[in-house]
Amino acid sequence: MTKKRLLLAEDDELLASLLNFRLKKGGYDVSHRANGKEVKEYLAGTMPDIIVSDIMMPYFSGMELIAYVRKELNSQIPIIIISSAGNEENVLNAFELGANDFISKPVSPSELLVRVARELNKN
Amino acid sequence: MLDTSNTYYGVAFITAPSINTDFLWALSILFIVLAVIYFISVFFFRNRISGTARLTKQSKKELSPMISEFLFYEEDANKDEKSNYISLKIEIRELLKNDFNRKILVEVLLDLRKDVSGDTQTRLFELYQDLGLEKDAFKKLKSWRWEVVSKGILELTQMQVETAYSFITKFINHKTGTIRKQAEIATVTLKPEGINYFLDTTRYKISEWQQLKLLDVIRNQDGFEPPRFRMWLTSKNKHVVLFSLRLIKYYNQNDANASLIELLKHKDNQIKQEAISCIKEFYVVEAIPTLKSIFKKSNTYSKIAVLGAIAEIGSLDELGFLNEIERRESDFLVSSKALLAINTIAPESVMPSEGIEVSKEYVAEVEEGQIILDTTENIEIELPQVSAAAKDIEEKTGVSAIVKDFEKEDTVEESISVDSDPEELPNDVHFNTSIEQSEEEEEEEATEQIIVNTEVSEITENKTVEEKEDCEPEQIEVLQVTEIIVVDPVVVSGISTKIRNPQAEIFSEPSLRFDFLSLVTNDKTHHNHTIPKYKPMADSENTSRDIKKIEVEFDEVNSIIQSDATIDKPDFDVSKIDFLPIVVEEQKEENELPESSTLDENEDLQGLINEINELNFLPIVMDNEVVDEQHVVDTTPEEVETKNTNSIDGYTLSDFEVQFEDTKNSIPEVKEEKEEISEEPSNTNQVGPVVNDSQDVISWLMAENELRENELEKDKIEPIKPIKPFADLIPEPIYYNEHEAYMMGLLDDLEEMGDHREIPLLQELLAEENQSFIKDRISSLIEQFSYTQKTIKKTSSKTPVERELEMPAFNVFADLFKNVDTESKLLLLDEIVSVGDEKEITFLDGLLGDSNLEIRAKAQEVLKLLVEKVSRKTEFEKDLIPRPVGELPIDLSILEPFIETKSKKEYFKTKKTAFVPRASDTLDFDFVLEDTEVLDKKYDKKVLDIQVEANEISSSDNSFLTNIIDFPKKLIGKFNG
Repeated sequence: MTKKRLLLAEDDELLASLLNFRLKKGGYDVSHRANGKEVKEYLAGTMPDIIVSDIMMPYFSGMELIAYVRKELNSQIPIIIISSAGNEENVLNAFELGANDFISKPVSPSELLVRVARELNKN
Repeated sequence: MLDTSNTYYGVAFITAPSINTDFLWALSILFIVLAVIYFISVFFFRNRISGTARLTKQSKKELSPMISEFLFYEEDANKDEKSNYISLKIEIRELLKNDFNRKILVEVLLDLRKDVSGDTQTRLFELYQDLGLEKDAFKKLKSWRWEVVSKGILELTQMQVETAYSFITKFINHKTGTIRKQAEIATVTLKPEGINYFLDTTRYKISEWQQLKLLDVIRNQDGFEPPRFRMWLTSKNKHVVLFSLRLIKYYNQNDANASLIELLKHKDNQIKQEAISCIKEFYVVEAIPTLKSIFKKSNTYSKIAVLGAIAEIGSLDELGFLNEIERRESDFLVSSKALLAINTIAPESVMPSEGIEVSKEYVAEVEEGQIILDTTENIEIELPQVSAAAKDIEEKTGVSAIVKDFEKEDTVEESISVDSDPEELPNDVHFNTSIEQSEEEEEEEATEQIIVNTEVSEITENKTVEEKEDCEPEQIEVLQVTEIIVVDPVVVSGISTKIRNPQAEIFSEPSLRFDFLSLVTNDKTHHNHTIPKYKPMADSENTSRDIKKIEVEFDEVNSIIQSDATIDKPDFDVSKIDFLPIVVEEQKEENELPESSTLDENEDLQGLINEINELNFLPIVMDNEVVDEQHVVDTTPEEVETKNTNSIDGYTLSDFEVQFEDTKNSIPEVKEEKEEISEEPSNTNQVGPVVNDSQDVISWLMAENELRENELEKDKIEPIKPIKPFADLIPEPIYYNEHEAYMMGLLDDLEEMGDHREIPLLQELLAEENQSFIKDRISSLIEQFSYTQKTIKKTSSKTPVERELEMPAFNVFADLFKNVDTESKLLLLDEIVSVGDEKEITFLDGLLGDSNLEIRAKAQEVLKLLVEKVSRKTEFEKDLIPRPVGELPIDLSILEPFIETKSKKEYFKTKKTAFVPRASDTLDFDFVLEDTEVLDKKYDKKVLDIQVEANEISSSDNSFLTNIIDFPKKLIGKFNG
């Protein structure tokens, strides 16, 4: 059985490393990108099964990423956004743009794993 | 010329300075060198900082996967993962020997703590302590630099090191604010009871920001149960009191009402305001008198808070107080708040006044009959405006208007008299022009006038306004309460609403009467006496609209004594009200007749009393409260009837619980009965009959109500037995004389420190002693020591071998366990099955109570297997039936049932995967082989080199063939112990 490809877009190296480890352990083929440019480059070549992205990223924010995926790439792959607590406005905007789910910081890796699995099962 | 010469001489004095160019060059070189040094140092430090940052980043990159590995390591991991985990652990221990790496690791963990939550965060905290990083933080606490100490506290707090609690609490009263604040947060964070300790101990100010932070901490604590914060309302630190008040409010702890009321008197305005806020929040109505009393001495903001609280919890009773404040308070904020409070308590009792014009259109409307001049309306118009309005009205209508200036104590009337032609008045507007009175007339006729409490008028007004709305346009009329003139300045002070009403003093003939309403008197001491002029309603049935539906609440109607001239006294026939009890004053004597009563009145009164005396069959009902006697006389029969109809209608006397109470006039028999029921709580409103025998009263009541068949049951109250005083329960002290005291002291010492060797001495003392209680004590000591002696003898009879067996065996595992981490402990436990024997059973038994669940579970597994191994070994050695497990020196009942369900096969499967020693991993095994007793037995090296596998006890197949195959292994196992 092939592993599901997951794109992790997170600029915080430590958190990214932790989530990367946990998601890999959870059975996903994780690709980590630290900023919007890298994400865009990656998406130009590969389309993952799911994207987990932070809202605040250099060059290319999570919002722009959602818009890019939904409008330019015209893809309906699940997108889970990671937002800071108390940033509800951004979350609402993200949902309007087409995000499927969100998880707020501090992140519980186990919870993220469950959400990812759920989104993939939906599709 | 003179100027020129001066210039010349001046110039002559100026000489060109000799410039030391060498010195200048030297200076230039110095500055250049300094600049170079500066730039070099800047570059040096910059590079150093960036180098460190780069190194830090790299280290973090290296460490973060390791941390992830530790954080997400699971017990059921596969073999590779486990071996990887162990090697990582060794690696990280090596790394931690470097201070820089330790620092980086702490930074990484602190960073991650912010980003992760849930189980991962908990593991993070555990990892921090497992790696011993908290020791660095503890070292920081000892630093002399405040910022280092503060960092240390912060680190320990963020990583939830509970053991640091006792160290950190010492900093709560530190002189350095930053350390103190950090310690406060830490104390509250680390333990739920930290808030108690903090509030108990802190001596310094708790800033607002700090209060917010502390609140945030306790608010987010899992399972935090707030203590009763009222306990700290008595604190000597006012900031603690303030914070406690806020916490009380936040947690809705409304069990400190008395303290809150007391805190209203606090000198500190902030505390006062916070207490007011709590009172408002918890609706502490009992605090209103205190709120009023503190008002004058409070500052503006406290006053505003008081008024806000009164507005929230006050009733109509507070209107007087509020009106007075509104009138007298010079501070706009306060008076405005008072107005707001009035409007909150009695909505629309004060109408808008600012910028309200009494325009010509208004009067024109009056003329056209399109407006109702409701004298009972509360329109706030200042006196000059009133005058102007009155003038306007007069000009248009020709009516004489009276404007009273109530601001002045002497109630001087401002009279505007213009000859008026009543015919010119609009048909539906009636003004009473005959009530214009001078001050003297007022005084003379004071007793004839009717004073109605403001509240009454206000309520009446509201109702009339409602009525008004239903009126037909043709029937527009002036609604007002007839002949209500406020004359008492005291009363005036409480009726500002009346003052502001220009129309209130314009009287007209009543078209609507309210005198049918029952007269309600205040049962408290009367300051002002008011009796409404009694005029029976002509046709109450035909009253327009549903006047009966109007809810009228008369809180207080003050009465004055009326003269014959003003009272239409109806024929009073006592016989008609013979069913009523006659109320007489209890405390006041009969001769206390009002001074203002006329002779005629007295005669009437006397006649009335005579008539009453003739009705001696009636019980005389006594009222405990002081009631104006005159009131009884002045009460008209209709009024009495109304009262009684209102109160008794629909009930019979059997519906009322009659309680008898002693009165001054009671005769001794009644007193006796009263004594019998004296245990009951007294009721001030109880009524007592003035009869010789209470039975007569009861029978009369029954007769009157045709209730003879009902028997009145009186509860007999058993007298409470006197409680034995507590002092009697305390045993009497025993006083020793000098000898006794010495002996008892000696025996105490012997008991504490002596042994069987003291027996001869004790026997000697026993022989010499005369006091029986000392003898008893000595005998008991001898007995006690004799028993010890016997025990010692019994022990000494054992062989050294037996004694050795009884002594606790040295356990190498126990010693190792003290200094290793959880992971190593688990590994050691695995080895116990292989190399351990009976001695380890006790040790494992002790581990069953370990705080770590993992170790506990592992110990249970290992213990079970070790017990089996030991029993099998015994069987093998002695060639006997294996000992039942129950006979072993441990209690196996405490083993959890899951152990039973887990097969040994599974266990060994786990065990094998749990740790596979590699050639390089000698660290974990070396000490095991070196320190165990295996080496002491000096076995052959080959035996020692045998892989410690648990195969010898792994057999779950008890077939004969298996036993034969396993036999050599068992032998080897036996040799291994």
